[in-house]
Amino acid sequence: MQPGSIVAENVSRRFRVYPQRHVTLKEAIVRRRHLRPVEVWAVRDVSFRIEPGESVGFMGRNGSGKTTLLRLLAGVFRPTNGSLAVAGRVGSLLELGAGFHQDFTGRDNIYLSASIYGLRKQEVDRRFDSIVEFSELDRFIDLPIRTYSAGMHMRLGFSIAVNVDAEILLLDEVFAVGDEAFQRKCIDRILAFKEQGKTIAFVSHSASALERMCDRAMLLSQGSVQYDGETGEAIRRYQQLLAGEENPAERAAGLREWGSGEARVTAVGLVGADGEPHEFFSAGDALVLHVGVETHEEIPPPVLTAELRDAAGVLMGQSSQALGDLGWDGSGHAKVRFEVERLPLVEGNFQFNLTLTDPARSRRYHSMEKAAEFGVLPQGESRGFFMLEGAWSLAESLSPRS
Amino acid sequence: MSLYADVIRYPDLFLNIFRRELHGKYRGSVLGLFWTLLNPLALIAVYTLVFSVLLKAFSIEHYPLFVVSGLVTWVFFQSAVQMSCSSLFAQPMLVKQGRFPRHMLPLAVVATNIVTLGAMLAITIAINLVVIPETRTTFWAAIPLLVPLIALASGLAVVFAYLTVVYRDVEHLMLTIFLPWFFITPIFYTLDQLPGLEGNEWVADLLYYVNFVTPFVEAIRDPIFFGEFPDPGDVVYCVLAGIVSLFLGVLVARRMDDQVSATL
Repeated sequence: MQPGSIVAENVSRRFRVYPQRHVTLKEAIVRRRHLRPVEVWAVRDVSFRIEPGESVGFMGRNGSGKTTLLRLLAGVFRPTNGSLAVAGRVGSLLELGAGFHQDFTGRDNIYLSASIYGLRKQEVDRRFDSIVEFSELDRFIDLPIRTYSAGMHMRLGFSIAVNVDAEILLLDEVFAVGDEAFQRKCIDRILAFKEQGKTIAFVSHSASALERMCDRAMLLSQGSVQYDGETGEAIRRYQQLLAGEENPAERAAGLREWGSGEARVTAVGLVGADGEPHEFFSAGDALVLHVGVETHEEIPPPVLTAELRDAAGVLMGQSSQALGDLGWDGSGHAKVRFEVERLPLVEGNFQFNLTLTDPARSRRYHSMEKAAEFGVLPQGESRGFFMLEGAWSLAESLSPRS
Repeated sequence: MSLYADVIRYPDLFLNIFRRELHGKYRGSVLGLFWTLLNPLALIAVYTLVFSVLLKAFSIEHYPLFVVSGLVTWVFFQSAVQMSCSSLFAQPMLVKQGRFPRHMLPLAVVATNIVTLGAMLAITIAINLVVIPETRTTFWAAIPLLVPLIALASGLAVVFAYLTVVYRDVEHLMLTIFLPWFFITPIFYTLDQLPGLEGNEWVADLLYYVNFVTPFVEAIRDPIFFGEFPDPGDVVYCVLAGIVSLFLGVLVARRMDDQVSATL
């Protein structure tokens, strides 16, 4: 097998979950029958082939098996059934602090962690400076890592994983703890990794990160692959899956929404000027927000409010529309579109929060946080959050030369 | 048996874990080594006082040296196995990192105990050489016997480290077992000096061969204290016990490796 390739054939993984948290030897011997474990198949009959140089995203709700699948690839545990072949050295960032000893200094942990990857001391010596430099931890490298913050753990773990000459990089969703500047640095590094023809497997809830980094994505549901193919399509199906989820507690795992429920937002999509769905836009691009709405009871046509917020949740702008004014009588389904001709944003990650209320805005039918998320990439020389548009002209000049 | 060869196959990894364990055990100080020697010293003092001075139970010359000559074997065996129990369980983050050879953790614990064993044995032999001239020609015979002793501890260390992850009470169970086990091991007495055993030779045999630590204690104590070469039967028993223990370690690690990473 070529280094960097992964072949999974009918891989399944079962866990035995015991009713009590800890099992003691005494209980196992004395009360045998009371300890019937519950069998959980976290991954069921999954088959795929990843060629060297592919970057593949894994998505799905919490408990869909994506993390278990990544752990299987990392070799933390083996498949219960089926065969899994992973060729080449695997660098992984699965969990914060994995591979670290808390009482060791950052320096010692680099050596410890790298030796787990199979590197000799001389090989680590050679890479040491670039690991420290990338992690930006040079001032803290001789402190025990139990004093590190979550972000610092992540930085060190990531720096080691990308510096051990791995053919395969496995990343679980841990970037969330890094600050935005470091996240961007990580993404650049991952893209560079990709350009070197290395294999990446990446678990994320963030559609924008997936769209940017992965050519291919797998959508997992209840341990099985529901879709394996182009990233954009996988994201669309994922959003459909979330929207169709009936159980509000389950839904909260992926989307945050609430409301009395007489009217609901059923589908959300972001489309670019070309009519194709996008997760990334350039500053000044056209953007169309598609919203599907349905009503369950006889109510007057609701009011739809779209809030634009940045990644930190700061309100950037808001627009409301009484759907009755658009000609809908408020029964059954409707699809509405909100068109922005020139996106006035420059750079960053943003989200639309949608709310359906009654015309008096006293009753909240349905609120959906992060209904659509998108990233904006700067275009030209603009910087900052929004496009500062204006015209420069010469108002006065004093030119001694003329 | 490749399980144990991993120590040589991943020398840097093993050294890193060993260093970590050593650091944890001795807190990085020379005084730390002294503290680990303090426990056996206290035991020797108490047994000498109770059995030799107060009870006058045993007429063994140089009684404190007799006790320490048996204690080196026991202390190594007990602390290596006892400390290994938590070696996997206490490091879930290390165990969860990729294809990590987990059995290295208990083996590193055994390695740190070899350091203590070496220190204790060196001191004991040095004193015995001065005080008991007979040992000067025989003491070296104890050295090769350390190999089966370390094998015995390594195999059981792996077994109990894996068991503790799945059954959390194993560590406490071991604490409970080790105390009576210590008393039925001839460390502060010899089996041939027990009046109760006269006419009950089968009890003596039971105490000798079922308690598999006894032949190790005797075989190592003979050359370093009594100035006698170890009994060939004991040597054969020790070698076999060491091999059986290593196989047990492999067996348990194979069967439970997957369960361990899924449980932690």
